[in-house]
Amino acid sequence: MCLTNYLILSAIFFCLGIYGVLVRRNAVMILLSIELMLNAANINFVAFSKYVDPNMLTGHIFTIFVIAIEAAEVAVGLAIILSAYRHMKSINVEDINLMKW
Amino acid sequence: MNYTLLTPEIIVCCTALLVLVADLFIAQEGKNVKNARKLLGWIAIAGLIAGMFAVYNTPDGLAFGNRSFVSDAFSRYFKYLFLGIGILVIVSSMDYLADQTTHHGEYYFVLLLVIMGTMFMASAGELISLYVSLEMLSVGSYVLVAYLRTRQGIEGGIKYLLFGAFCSAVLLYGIGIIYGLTGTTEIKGIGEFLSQGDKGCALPLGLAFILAGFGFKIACIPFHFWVPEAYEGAPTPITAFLASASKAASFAVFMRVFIEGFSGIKQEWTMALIVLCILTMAIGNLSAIPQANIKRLLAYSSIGHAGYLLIGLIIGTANGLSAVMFYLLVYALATLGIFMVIAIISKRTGTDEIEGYEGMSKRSPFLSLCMLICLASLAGLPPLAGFMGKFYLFAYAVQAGYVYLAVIGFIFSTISVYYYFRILKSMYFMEAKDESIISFSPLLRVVLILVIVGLFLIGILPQSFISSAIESVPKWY
Repeated sequence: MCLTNYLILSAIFFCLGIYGVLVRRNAVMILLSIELMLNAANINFVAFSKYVDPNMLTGHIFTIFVIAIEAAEVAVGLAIILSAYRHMKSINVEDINLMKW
Repeated sequence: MNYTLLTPEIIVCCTALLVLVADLFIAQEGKNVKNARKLLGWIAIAGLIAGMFAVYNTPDGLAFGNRSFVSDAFSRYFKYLFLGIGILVIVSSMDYLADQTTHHGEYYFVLLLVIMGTMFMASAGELISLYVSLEMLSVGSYVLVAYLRTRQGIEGGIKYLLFGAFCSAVLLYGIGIIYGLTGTTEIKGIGEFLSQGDKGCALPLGLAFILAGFGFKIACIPFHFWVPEAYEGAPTPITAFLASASKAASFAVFMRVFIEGFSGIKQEWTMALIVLCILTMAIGNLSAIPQANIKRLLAYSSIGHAGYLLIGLIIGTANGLSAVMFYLLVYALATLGIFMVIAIISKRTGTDEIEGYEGMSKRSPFLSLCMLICLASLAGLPPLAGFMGKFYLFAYAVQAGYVYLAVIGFIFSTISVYYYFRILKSMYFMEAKDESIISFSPLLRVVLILVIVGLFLIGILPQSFISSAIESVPKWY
């Protein structure tokens, strides 16, 4: 296995994530797609850590931090989406559009 | 290991926890409930003032041996700014949220943690701590924007959240690419590696992704979609915080990463920044003209100001950076003054529309005068602080050979006078529908007078302020 394989895998995940953000209209699905993008970055970090910087493990540590932050972000995100649902009876981002973009 | 360097952050963090615990013990109903809520605000203010003293006593150094927490003059300058902004925001919140029945403890708790996040951002010399502190600021801000749970608030919060999470994922991917190219996450090490001239072909991609992430935080075009919604929906003191502290903190990390880390490859990103800067000034200022809601108008105006600030980064010299730091100070002061006035008025009239300000000069001459002075400072009229801020920025741009940027900046700040004047026209030249007097606490009056005095002081005697900014710029060259 060489570094390129990991990078291609992560690039595919990243693009899938961007595609999901642009195409999906459900707020939870958008949040999920963003998770996919973050995890693509995590794959990058771990792969680089192994191949570029094998003595320091910086990338591994970065990944652990990112996973923890992702969890916090999703917790806040789901709370806000839940209260949006209570107000508007919908979590479709096109319905959540009282103010113009 | 030198944990004493973290004293300001530890004080702010402990204050946040203290507020949360105190919230359990204060009166939740009855006669004293309003004073009990104010007590939480006073605890927070006391903590921030103690934090300022701690910043004053913090020496230079590295807290953890590596550069993940750097204490230097640059970070201290920004920490004073954030703590000062925090105090003004809390004073404004104590009045604005006086009638809110629940969740006071959580509000001040999250606000203090967000202020702590901005302080860590100012000290982050390494990409891991930079990303973590940036998220500390972002995640807390999502909560605060949606705090009131009105329809606008939640809508602003959800847009801010989705767009922010997307941009932070893009930023993280960019950081990953830079890490892969250089093999280090220390900004200084990245700078040393890149100045050796050994660059990978993925570098422009990494640069573009990082630029997108920071562009979102400083609210520049084309990453600005969240700004009007979040500013309009957020409680007004939080809008003031987003417009001042959040922007200043993002500029602090922007400067560290791009000047300390990427100055060796300046020719690769200067052109992109020039395009972003001109677009930001143009679209920000032009979109502000037709707005009917005062918070939306100021949101677009704050986008325009991000454009002026980018000029300093494009110059990239110590002079340019000191001009950015000085401009952030005068911009934050005027913005806080304006949003404090808006918070007072909107709480009493219940509207943020510019029409609602008609005849305000009769209903409250003092507030109208404050608004007049702060708007004049934002527009850059002498002898106010905003004029000196723009003067230094544009003068250094001319000195560095970016005459066209200075000219474009000057043109758009002239245009900005027009839409600021629309607010003043409504306040001074229109008849009031409702003639009732607007009354507010002496504390707010004193704080507003201090803001005005500060604006005049910096405008008339800018030397000591600009020289403290120049001394705070590290030797990154």
